[in-house]
Amino acid sequence: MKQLIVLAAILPLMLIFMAQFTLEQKNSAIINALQQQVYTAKEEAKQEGCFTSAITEQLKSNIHTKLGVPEQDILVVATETPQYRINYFDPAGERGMIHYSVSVPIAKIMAGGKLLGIPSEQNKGVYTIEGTTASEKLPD
Amino acid sequence: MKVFIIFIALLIANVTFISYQGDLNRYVRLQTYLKAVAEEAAAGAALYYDEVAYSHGSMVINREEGQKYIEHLLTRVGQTLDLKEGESLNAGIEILDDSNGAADPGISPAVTVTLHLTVTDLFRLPFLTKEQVVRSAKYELADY
Repeated sequence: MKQLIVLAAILPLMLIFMAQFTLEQKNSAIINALQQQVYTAKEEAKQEGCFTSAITEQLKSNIHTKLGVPEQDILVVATETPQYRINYFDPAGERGMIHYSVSVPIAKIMAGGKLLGIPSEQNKGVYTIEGTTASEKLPD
Repeated sequence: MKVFIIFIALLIANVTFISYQGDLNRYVRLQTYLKAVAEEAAAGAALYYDEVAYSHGSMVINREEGQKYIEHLLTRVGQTLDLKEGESLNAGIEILDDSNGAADPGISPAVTVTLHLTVTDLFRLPFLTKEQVVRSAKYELADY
């Protein structure tokens, strides 16, 4: 009987580790996939001179399809006016540069949050990828 | 007592494993990120060229502008990575253009950027140490 009581106490604690392992793998896969999608969109934006609405929509759609994140939860803040390739570096980083920031919510960070007393509002986060790239678009 | 000892052993094993997994994922992500930054740096630096040399039929990369662009990029990346005191991110730049050998047939002008990131240990486990990440990328102007 003693063994059973000890097992009943320990098993949930041990299972949290298993669940956390799975959750870590899932979140890591989400972030890796997000990196790939943002990289692809950035390469397209370099050719177009900015994040056109088509590129942004495609990016959101791909993230939604691959990661299952609702499109309205994906935040894309990027240069939307065409930047053209220039033959000097602008120290202000305004001319010829495309800035972008893509944020995606991470639904759950800790497994067994309720058991550990972590409220669901605190057990989530936002992963953001941001960067700058030089436009390759030539003036028409 | 036996049950307690086994519990503690399992707990330590699990904590070690979870810690290793988290740090390893972070390390892999950092490698991917730095590779993308190196590509970005090489591609960006290769955009700037000497217009006078180009008017004479030579493709010569403008080293000064390329250097400025890469430094700007490294500053932003340093902020993103939130580098602490003693940590650093440096870039090695190698440029091959018509001024130093790419004028030969079959050789294209290219910019190679190698990033060296030095950080405090990426792994929290005491028996694993990784303080340097090095990633490199080459951008070649194939049509010139």
